[in-house]
Amino acid sequence: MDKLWYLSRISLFESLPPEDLEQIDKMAPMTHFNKLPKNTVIQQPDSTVEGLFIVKEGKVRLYKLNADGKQFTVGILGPGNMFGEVHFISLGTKGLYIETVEETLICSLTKNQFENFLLQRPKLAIKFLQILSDRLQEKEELLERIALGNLQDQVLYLLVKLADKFGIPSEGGMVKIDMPLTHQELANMIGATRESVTVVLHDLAKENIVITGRMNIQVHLSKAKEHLANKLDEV
Amino acid sequence: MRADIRIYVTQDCPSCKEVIRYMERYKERTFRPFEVLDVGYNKLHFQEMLELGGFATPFIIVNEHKLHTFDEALLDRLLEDDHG
Repeated sequence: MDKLWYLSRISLFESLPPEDLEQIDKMAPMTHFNKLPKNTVIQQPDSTVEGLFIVKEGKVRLYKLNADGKQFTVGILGPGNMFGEVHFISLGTKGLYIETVEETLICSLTKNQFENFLLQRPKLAIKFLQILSDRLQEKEELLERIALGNLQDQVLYLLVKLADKFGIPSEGGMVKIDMPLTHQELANMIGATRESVTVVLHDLAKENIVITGRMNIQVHLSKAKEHLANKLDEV
Repeated sequence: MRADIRIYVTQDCPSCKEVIRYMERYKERTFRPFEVLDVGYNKLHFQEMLELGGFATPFIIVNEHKLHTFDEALLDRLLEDDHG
């Protein structure tokens, strides 16, 4: 059950549209020349960091370890995404490992800044509500997908989610996921083994739904979504 | 030798300016010194912040306590306990 829950949270941290973030951006402008190196552990589960933070550049990965030391990725945050915990708001990042995936820049917001910002912009507060409601819906979809789907569906669903969030258009209708991803990392995200994910990726490559390269993956989004939709019709 | 109270900052970071103003007011009352370290330009200060577990500015140190964000109420309490 835990696994389902972690996976279902992959989509929890969708960023707000850039125009809505411009104002937040002004509160925490980017001035560093020094970035956090890749694989810097920002938070460990037993020492939750207090505060609200925005990823300005780069990406961080949120994950948990199970009793066997296996990693479950809960989410990946890119520029514009927020994380953190203060007493009045929780962005759902308590008790997680947070680690940079690449060189990253992070800024903090004070509680007052954030509160005043929301108070002055009721529309944005409503947007937060919408995001929460979307999360619920996605979670239900995902639970269904995992309860009824096989590993191929899980991998494909994950790739579609990652491509939606971090994709850049490539040739032939493919979308490249703009982050280095190993098969092991994909396996970690859905609690599968690397070997089984590799097999699934080969199958998907044969069907021309994905192209895998060294540390990079491209997905044919429309084919992938069609594939998943067909599967859903079958059940 | 670093001061007991230190703030790791970057330029143009509004929260950093807030915490510096706060500490200046505190210093006027208590005469306790504090140190401001720029991590945006200075690699050594940046490295020092990373080693202490800081990842965003302002990163505030009060003796062994580390604050990753400027929470005035919390800082009030920490400084009072520390001074007191």
